[in-house]
Amino acid sequence: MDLSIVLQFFISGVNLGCIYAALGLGFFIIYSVTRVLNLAQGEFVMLGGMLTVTFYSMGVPILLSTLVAVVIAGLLGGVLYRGVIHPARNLSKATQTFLTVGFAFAIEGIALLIWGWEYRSLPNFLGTPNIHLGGATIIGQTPWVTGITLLVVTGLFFFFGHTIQGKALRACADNPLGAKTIGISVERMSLYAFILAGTLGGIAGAIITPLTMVSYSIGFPMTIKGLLAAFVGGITRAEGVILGGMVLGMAEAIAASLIPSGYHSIFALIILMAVFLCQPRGLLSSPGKT
Amino acid sequence: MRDYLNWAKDILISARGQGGEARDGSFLELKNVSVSFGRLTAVDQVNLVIRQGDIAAIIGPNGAGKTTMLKLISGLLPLSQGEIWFKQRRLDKISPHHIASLGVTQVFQDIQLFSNMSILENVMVGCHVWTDAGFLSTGLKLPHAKAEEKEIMERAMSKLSLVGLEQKALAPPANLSWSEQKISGLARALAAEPDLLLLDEPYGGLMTSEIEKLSQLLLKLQQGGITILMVEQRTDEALEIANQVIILDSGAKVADAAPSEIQSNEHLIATYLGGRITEGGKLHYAASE
Repeated sequence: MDLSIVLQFFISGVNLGCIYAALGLGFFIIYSVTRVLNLAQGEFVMLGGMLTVTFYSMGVPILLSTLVAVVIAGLLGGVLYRGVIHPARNLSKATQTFLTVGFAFAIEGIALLIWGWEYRSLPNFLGTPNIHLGGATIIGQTPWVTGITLLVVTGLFFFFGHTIQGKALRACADNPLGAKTIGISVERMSLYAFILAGTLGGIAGAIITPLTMVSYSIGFPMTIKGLLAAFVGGITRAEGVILGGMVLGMAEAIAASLIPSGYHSIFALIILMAVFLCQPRGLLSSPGKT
Repeated sequence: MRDYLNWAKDILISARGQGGEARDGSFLELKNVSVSFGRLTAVDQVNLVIRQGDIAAIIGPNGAGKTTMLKLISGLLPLSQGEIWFKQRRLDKISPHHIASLGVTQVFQDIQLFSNMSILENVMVGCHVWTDAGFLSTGLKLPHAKAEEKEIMERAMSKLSLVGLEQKALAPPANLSWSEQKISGLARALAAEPDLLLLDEPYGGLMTSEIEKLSQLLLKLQQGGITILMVEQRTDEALEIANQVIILDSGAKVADAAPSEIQSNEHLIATYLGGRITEGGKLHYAASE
């Protein structure tokens, strides 16, 4: 195989992997703290993209548009917790998970009413031109996607590892009972987890829109991709989720060269099944945790 | 909206007592406290006053309701009846994390350390209750948050030094012995700077030399102004350091006195503690024969 094609697949795989990892981390954060699978995670991605397009089309600079869209997506994460999950806190985790589906449908419906069914796009951030490298072409938005994702992931690791609030979130994820008795409000940490996940989704949506375009209906497929990344890598560990995202991204990039485009998702599901057969808890999940 | 109203009500109740009623001088007071699980009454109309600066020990046979009492005070279980007051604030209507923020922390019998963190991180997270920096300022590393992180680290290390575990600061809990894990749990509780420490069977699973060390540490904490309420199966050790001993049986309080009074009461010892007093004045338990 031509080296330039291999390089092209690699770049494309890393790029997709970054997106899936960011999506998966949203699931990881919420699941760790609340044990709820937020099936509305993809809607934050959709909103991140749609709101950025909207603000940009109103003449707001693209980076500022992105920032405002991300803040709104984060706040909506808080609304999902306060308005849906918290009132249902005494119900089962399965019921709370189903409630997030209802929230997703509501957001999707509202988005359809506001923006219609058309796909929308954005130019590459700051008009970054495509880059030609060793025969491969890197789309100008790709470095933004990879760079911002790396920055966000590094920031998250720093936050969880080196700040008291990050440690408090980890404490709630590890042992809510122990956390409560040393003065940590598990409910407040759950709210923060939803805001953080909404923010992550918003960032993902804003940065991928120049590559993939956005419409009211992209939320559900994004939810599935994020879930796959989280489950392939192991939803109980952030490193696992990132690995899961990368595995999925690479697999899809390779599949793109081997099978027709409509079947890429099947390839991802085959990987998921293979991982579940060999490592039912995911590639890097913590032993004894589900 | 209702949640916010409940939260505001919690704050008001804890700040001035229900209906504005103020309590007199006692440090911790349980008034007619009961809790039932279905038909089982685990704690039955217990009245109790703990004085500031004391070490109080709750003893009694298995299933007497000792651990349940601690859980009621720390808010982990709701009362069926009665009131709990701490420093003139009512505890039984507020959430466990709020109770901890008022200065009451609990160390569990099964420790409950955070397994995904080092011992130092476990103790650091114990400081969360007194930190001011919010989520955003911490995440953005604003100067105030940065200074606070430094203070948290220093204070956590000082607590580890106090309990003699500074050498194990970076180890994960799984690499520590049972007694070291117990002491780590205590250091984490101390990081919250509590006024009242609730200890559930602190001597459980420890060897004699470790028990001696822990007793010395608890006395040192008492001298430092911390009030301790412990639940303990090892009656001898509890009687040795306590100022006040409470005997529970089937959820009811059957004695509340100084250790010397308990030790000289053959009826109490024989009936509720399954032992007798030997000629040398020592307690002797049938279980140890």
